[in-house]
Amino acid sequence: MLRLAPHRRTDTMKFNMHRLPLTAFFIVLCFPFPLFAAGTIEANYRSTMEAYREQDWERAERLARITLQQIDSRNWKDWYYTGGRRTRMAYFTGDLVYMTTSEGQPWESNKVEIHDPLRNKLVRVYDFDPWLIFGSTHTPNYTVTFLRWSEYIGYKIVWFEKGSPENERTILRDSIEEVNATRKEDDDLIELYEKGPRGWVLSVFEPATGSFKEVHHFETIDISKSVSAQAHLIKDAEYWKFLDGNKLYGLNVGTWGKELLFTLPFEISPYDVFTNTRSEKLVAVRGDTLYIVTNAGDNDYEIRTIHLPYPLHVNHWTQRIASDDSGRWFAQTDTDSLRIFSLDGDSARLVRSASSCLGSTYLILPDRINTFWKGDTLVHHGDAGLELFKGARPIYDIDAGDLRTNYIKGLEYFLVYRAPGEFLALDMRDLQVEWTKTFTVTNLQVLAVLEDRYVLFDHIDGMSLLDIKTGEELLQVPRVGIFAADLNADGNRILLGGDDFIGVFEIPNQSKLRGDLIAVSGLSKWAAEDTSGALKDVRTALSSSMRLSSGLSEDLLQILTDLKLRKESLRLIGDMAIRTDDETWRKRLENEGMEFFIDPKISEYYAIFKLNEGVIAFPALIFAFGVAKGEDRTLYWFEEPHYRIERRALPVCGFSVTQEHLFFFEYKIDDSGENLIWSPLLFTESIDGINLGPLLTTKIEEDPENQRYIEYAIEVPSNSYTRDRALTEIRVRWGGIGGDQSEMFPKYTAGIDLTGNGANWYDSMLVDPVRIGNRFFAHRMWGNRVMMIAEGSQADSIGVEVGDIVVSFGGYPINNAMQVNIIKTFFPDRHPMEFTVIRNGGRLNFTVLNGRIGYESLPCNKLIEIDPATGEYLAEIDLPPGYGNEGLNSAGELLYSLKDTLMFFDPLMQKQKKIIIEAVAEHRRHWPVPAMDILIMYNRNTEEMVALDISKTADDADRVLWKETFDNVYRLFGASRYPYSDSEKDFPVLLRDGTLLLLDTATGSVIARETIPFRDFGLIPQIWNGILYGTAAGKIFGWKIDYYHPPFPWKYAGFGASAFVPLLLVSILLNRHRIEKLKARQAVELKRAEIDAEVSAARRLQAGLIPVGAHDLGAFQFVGKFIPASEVAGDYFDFRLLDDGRLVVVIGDVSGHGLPAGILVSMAKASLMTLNRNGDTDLTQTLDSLNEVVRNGSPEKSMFMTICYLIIDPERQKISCSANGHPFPLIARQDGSCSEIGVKGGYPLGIREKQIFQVVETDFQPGDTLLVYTDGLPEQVGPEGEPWGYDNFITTFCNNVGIADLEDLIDGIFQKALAYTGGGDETEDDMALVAIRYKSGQLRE
Amino acid sequence: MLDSFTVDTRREGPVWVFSTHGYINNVGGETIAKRFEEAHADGGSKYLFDLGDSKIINSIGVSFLIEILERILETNGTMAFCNCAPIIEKTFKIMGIMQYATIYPTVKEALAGMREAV
Repeated sequence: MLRLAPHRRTDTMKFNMHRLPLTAFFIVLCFPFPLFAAGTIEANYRSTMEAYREQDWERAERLARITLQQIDSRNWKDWYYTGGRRTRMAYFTGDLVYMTTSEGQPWESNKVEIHDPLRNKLVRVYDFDPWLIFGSTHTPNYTVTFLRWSEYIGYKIVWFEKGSPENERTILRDSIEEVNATRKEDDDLIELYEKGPRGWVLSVFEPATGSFKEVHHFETIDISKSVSAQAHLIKDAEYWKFLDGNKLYGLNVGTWGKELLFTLPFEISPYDVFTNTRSEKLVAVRGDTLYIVTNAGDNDYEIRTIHLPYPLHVNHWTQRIASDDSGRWFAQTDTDSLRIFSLDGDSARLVRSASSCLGSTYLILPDRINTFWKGDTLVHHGDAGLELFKGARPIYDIDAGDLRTNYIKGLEYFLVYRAPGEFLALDMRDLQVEWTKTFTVTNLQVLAVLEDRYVLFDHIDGMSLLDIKTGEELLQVPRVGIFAADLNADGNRILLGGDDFIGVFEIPNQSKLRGDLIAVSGLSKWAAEDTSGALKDVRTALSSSMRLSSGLSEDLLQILTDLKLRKESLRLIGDMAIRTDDETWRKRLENEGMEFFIDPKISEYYAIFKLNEGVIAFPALIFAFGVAKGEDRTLYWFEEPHYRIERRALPVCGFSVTQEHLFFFEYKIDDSGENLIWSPLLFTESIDGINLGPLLTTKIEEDPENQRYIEYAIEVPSNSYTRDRALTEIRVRWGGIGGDQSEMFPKYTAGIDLTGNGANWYDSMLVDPVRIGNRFFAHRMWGNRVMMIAEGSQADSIGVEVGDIVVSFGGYPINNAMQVNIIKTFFPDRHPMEFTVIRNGGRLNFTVLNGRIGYESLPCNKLIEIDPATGEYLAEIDLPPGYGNEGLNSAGELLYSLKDTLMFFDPLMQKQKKIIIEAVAEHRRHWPVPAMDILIMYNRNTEEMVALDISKTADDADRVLWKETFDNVYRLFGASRYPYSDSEKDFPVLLRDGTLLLLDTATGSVIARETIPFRDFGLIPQIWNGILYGTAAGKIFGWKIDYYHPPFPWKYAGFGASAFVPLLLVSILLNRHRIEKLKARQAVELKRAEIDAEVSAARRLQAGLIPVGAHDLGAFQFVGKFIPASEVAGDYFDFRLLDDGRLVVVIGDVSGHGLPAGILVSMAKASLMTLNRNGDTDLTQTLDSLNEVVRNGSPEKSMFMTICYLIIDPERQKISCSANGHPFPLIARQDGSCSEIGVKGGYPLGIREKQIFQVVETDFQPGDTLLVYTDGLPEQVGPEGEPWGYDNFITTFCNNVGIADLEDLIDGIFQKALAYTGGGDETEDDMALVAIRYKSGQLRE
Repeated sequence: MLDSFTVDTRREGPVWVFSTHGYINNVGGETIAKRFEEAHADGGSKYLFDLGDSKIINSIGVSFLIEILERILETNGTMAFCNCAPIIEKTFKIMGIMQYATIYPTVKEALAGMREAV
């Protein structure tokens, strides 16, 4: 039996009207203008908008229809399928192909094309622009399309009978906020769940009559919680069943009468799980109770109540719950944890618990996670991995970082792709891996299953037909842009749709899986354009009889090879290479000075463009990219199948990429030599070829008369330069003004698209990194972009290079708590980009390759600091789960909050401070105002806004600066800093009740108000350079916040009259002394950053030298700890286990601390490693050599190093010890004695050229504990100036040596020493402590 | 509390007496070394360091004293300490200074002992 690929069907759709991407907004508003006479269109548009605002839906619809008719007037007579459009959905009837397409992004489809591939004909095109298609479905006799307009709440249904596509009909559904549509299986009815003013309404739409029938009004569902009605429905043959509140109702399909079937003991939640695949079942958890409701037949519902050993929190969509059919097992999973319970009667026993904190193997992105039971086998899988459990026993685990699984339900197989290119098939019936093969593909997507055995799947390199039982690849179609494979309802025709052609295979006899290609369309343009002759006969060949079977015809293979030659001749691989197996292409590229290498794995050529030679960027969704190379900045543009060279003298020094467009940025000094001009150039494709035009210009001029600077910003909506679509913009603003380039361009640049799917574009994004010393801390992410900070880049070579720093990341709907903190990225060859993310205090290492993300988790609940310059780990600190990053204060302290607790960590994480602030409880939004050391929080529930003083020195009791209540706040505009202002000029803006409020950050009082003339103001939630940008009615408005003229009046700055008119013209008033002040401050900060960088590097180096922490050395426990007095310490300890079982322990103290001491420590470490390499452990010789090193190698005069050197021989149970200038070791013996080892002290190393080293030997037996330390501990000074003293130190050790845990012992000693100082956390000298306990037996390696 | 350091210098017959006040760290050590050099240049071979008003010494402070001790030993001179806090005495013992210098309980005893020394 033939089965349809489930993902190709659009049986259900869901659309949230509130989540319209900005891009769509622009498209809708701006698209019509370039195409028609501006007056008519604009007049129509204005009238339409006016009608919408007045909610005159009839008039609005009529006006919109006029526009649609104008757009529809385009004539598509002589069609060809070029691949220029993007197909979102394709539906194949066996005769006709219905496709929703767009010439923009796939998710912005606005056309329905109906093709007749059998006749090579485009039957009809519906162009709904500016409406966008958000869903399309098919009943047996009708095709139905759902359209939206982003401007208002409501949608439109367009449908027509399949036999007469020219007779479409339309219904406008106004006031609908959200809609789900479900096609019924066998009749011409569409089920609709519409969320409107009355809540959710279930109704049936009948295309034949165009009528709606309301079936049920879900009165009790709280729509504010966005509970999806769809999730509540259980359907069987006779009923639609739905849960409303705690009641299960049945709607009789025949009579539409409602019956109460069952009353649950709890309210339904969107996180409960309904299944009705075999038996109707509901699984729900409430606290520590698990409910399993099943239908035993005839609507006889049984409820089983099971007590869990502790409450489970199932309150997020990332969490999954599942019980097996037998009722023996229950599992709850989250993105990073797994719990399996064994169920027995009414009790549950936790039999397995794992999380990424506890060593689970992988962490699954929440939108890809799936957990279900198959028999007693738990299947837990997602893009990141696959885990199988037999009951609670793990039986299978794949945790490769770049992995994709595809569960083929009909075949009960898992098809697993495991990088690099390895596939395996796991038969779920016996849980055996049936086969493993390596293909050159890098992805998979099952398109169709044929004959319960053959799987047609799409991958990045094309399409393959695979025998799932053997792994034999029956057919491989190279990448010709296969977008769809579909079967007709009768299962006798299969459609293969590509960028370049639509082919239809007819399969008269399924059992033999043989088919003839009976039609192909779409190659005519290619054939006509092709001059090489490679495709000359393709169409003819494709039209000939071919077999889709295991015995592929040679003809087809040849054709496919030819296709490959053509299409593979120029390819984008990964991020920066093109591939070709075409010698001609290779030579052409070589002639342009491009380098090639051959990938031995696939024997194909790669062209690599070195970033340092040019600027390169890749629009993500099209196989094209641009390069500017050479001194003359010759611009190359590659696009399949075209290759263009634009010899333009581009003064390019930067680039930026959107989905399909490429920006080059030009930076240059103006004629005065003082002002720097930034001129982004938009480079994009158009009908006529390449357009290159100004996108945005800025100009800074001096106004000496008024002693001020003026910045002019003139922006042109980017979509003016596109043929048919708008851009989602990346906007980057540079700090500083005038002066040199480094000041003007503080090394930040570039955005690059990551995912390419663009499904979640909400806002444009602004990079706003915070720099502390040489470390960057990022705040948050939205959109689907990775923004990069290129530290160390010069203004003339801005690009993405090794060591670049990613500071913000977005694109995956991981919950908002996800925070990006680090970061390191590189793009050598095709290697992945890597960066690290802190989420909920846990750390995730991400790897990005080809727009996909692999990741691994590191211990949760850690706040981890990593040097962004090197990616090296610096420090970590425990953090309770659930803490959210709030930003930083001016001292560089990192702020985290949880409910009413605010925690401060200093940049080096040496200290933390926790304060309780009641006002912080349950806040929802926050604004850090770094320059003012203020954190503003807004609680959407209580509508309270609180400003907190987060400065380092603030008294906790006075941290709450003000509290105000602002009701009906619609949007919060961040109090971002004004680039050229002093800190006191930072202030937030609220939008409430159609009014913008400018707040005084320091007091919370309203400084100024501005009434917004549009109710739909929004979508650019940023304030840049003192200008608040907003969109409304298709224009972008700006209000200048003139803070130099108290009381800060609002000034209406300008507006865009149409898409062709410059957006706005604004000015920012500056005066000279502020600029000078800023420059001076920046210079100081720069110097400080350089010093910080050096010290930080030394500290990292040293941290790697000292084995801090607990080490299990078999018979011995070793625990070391030290606290430096400065970033680089002079204390040092180490151990070395020799081959013969002896343990060498050394502890030292270089005079002083800081960098010179650290250098000497490093030298000593290196020397000791060399000296002991061969087990040469003669104490006096070693110390003699080390003395010479210290004496000759000290970076400063008069430096020396104390040392205590011990060799522990387990065989003889003896310690040999020499202490020179160093506190004598302490030994606590099993017999209860505790004292110093009687060493005769000597000069420290480095003082005398020749020195006599005294060595003593003493017993060291099981149960004994040895302690070595530096003088920093006993020399801790109390408040009165009295040192703690050696006696106190020794007594503390001897009195506590009975503590079983060595770590606890030395922690206790440290605490005692620090307590003596009076609680201050500053220390004058480094402190180091090492304890070694002889457990039993011999040392082991 | 540890912010000022001073040294009083006087001559008691053949013995130069340095009375320190405060934490003997890098600042204290440098001050002592400077005063020692002045005395050394003025002639003398017996040096007594009265540490009664110094409660603590750190490693850099010790390094200065060792340097002074080495200078004194080069010229066959004598170095002694008195009024040492226990922790300082312990430090001197650890650092091996006790092998070359003597510690007296008081100035008086030190002067008596040093006068007798050859």
